[in-house]
Amino acid sequence: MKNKTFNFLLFFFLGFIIVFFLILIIELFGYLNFTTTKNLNFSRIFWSIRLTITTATISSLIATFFAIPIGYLLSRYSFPLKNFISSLLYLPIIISPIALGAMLLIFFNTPIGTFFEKYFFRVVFEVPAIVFAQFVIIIGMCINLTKSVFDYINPEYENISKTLGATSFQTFFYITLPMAKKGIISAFLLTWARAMGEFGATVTLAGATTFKTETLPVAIYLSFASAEISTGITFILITLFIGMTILIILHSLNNKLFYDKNT
Amino acid sequence: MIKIHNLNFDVGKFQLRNVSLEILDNEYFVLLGPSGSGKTTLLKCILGIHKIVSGKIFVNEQEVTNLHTENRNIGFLPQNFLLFPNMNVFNNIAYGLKIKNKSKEFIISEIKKIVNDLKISHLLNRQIFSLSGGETQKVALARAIITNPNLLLLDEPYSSIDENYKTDICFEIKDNLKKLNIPVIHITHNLDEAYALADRVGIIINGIINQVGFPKEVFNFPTNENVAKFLGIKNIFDGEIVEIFNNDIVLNFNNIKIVVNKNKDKNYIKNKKIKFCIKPESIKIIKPNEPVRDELKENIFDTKIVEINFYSDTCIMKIDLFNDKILTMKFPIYIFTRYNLSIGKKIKIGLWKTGIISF
Repeated sequence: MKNKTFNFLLFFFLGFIIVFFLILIIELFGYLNFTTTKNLNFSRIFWSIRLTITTATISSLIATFFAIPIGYLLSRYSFPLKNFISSLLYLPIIISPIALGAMLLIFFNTPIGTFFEKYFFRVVFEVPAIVFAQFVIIIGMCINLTKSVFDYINPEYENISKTLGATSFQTFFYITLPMAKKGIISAFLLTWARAMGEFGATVTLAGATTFKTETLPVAIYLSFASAEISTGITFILITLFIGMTILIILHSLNNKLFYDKNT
Repeated sequence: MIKIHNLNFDVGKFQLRNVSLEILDNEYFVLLGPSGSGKTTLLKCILGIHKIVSGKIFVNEQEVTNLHTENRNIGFLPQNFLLFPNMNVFNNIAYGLKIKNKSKEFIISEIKKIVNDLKISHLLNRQIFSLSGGETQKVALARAIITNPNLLLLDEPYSSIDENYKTDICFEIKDNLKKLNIPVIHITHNLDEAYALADRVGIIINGIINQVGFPKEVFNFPTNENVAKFLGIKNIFDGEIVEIFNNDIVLNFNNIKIVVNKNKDKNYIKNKKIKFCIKPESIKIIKPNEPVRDELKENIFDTKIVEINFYSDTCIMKIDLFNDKILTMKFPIYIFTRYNLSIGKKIKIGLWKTGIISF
């Protein structure tokens, strides 16, 4: 009897949240005006989708590229100030995205930022600003996820590889990285999903210009700001569809995510 | 020949202190010690995974102390085998040769030789998750020896193998390694395994090598109390030397006299207190009116049985030897019925002189 009550309580909490989320999604359809939907600017929608997917992919790829060596370093090595550095990587989680966007905006007004924009490419209020903003928001999360993947791999595998004559580089590329592959893909997808939904830092650094820096979250913001409810809801549903697809892939991967630490 | 000279290692509260060992060519050396004694730590120092504080390690006359793990050419079979999960059996075995950029033909011919010797040729295309414990062990061994290492380190290799299968596989593997002429350091906490396999055995306790010698020598004549305790010898007592003869000494133990064989490596001083142990299997029951063997004659006492415990083929019995000194004795189970033993019964015992060891 007690077990049944316990199980009921567990499912009650889960059911409460699921029902709440479903109501949030279903109510959107009630506000979807099909007459105005017919007049939707599809080229604007596709442009936003393409921009969001492109920038999120680029920023997530760059973040993963940095996160792999940094995550490995944090997982395997001890060095001075390691705790301080690890805490610093949580900065984007502690500070609001708008504040981070403002910090980036100020950075591009410093001599280093101006030098960068002068000799490389323009960033502020341009498409690269979206990538920059997304990168700063997701890099900490990406490093922490990647570090967890390496934490799950028994370092003894690396020692065995070295006893067989492999250098640290060979061990990393032939043993550690292949074993971490699924975890890293999972980390990439999660950070990609987070980049897709990034708004605060993007709107501060890249602005909100239609057909220029209008990502899906920015498009939702602009639609609601100009009282285009149906357009806004369409953008929300598209974001939901893309996000859910990614999460379903992620969960199916998750079952086989890590190799057993003690295998 | 492998030489470890005065190796010291420090990790927090645990230390390896002044470890010195010599492993001869083609020798199967077993390092025996309780859990947490530093066996695996020592292996990792030899491999170069742990950086030692001081000391030197020589492999075939060449000093490897400061070489990286990958340059030492020392094979390693870890306790849980750790086959690479991202590779099948063939690629696991081939890994060490592929790293060294050996040709495909060479790799295939080397693998063929090893898998035939270890009788695992049928496993080559299998995924590692489908292997049994014994198969996994053989594949891990093949991976460790394919690079022809100068020394092979085995970390508790039979701890996860079924008992029934263990006896066959451990001798089979030892024979294979002997054929390959690779010296081996095998670490274990299992006394039977060490006794059966070792050419020589070393006892490590609390990071210190306590004794090294041939199995018979170490198991029969532990040189100190720690080794005796680890080897399961229960009856360790303090005694005072009261007489010294050419071959024997006489100890006063709780006002009874015990005659003990002299240890030729030790200097005995009269009236000095020493520790000694009586091996449980060296305590014999003497039946009234039966002739007593010469080896027992000097140490015969009256005792009372206080506890009897039965195991599969042995009986372990506690007896009271004057003044509450309890001795543990061990004998085959048929003795129990033959002598009609029971708790509280008074019996006469004799101590086999060679089974009393002074430290």
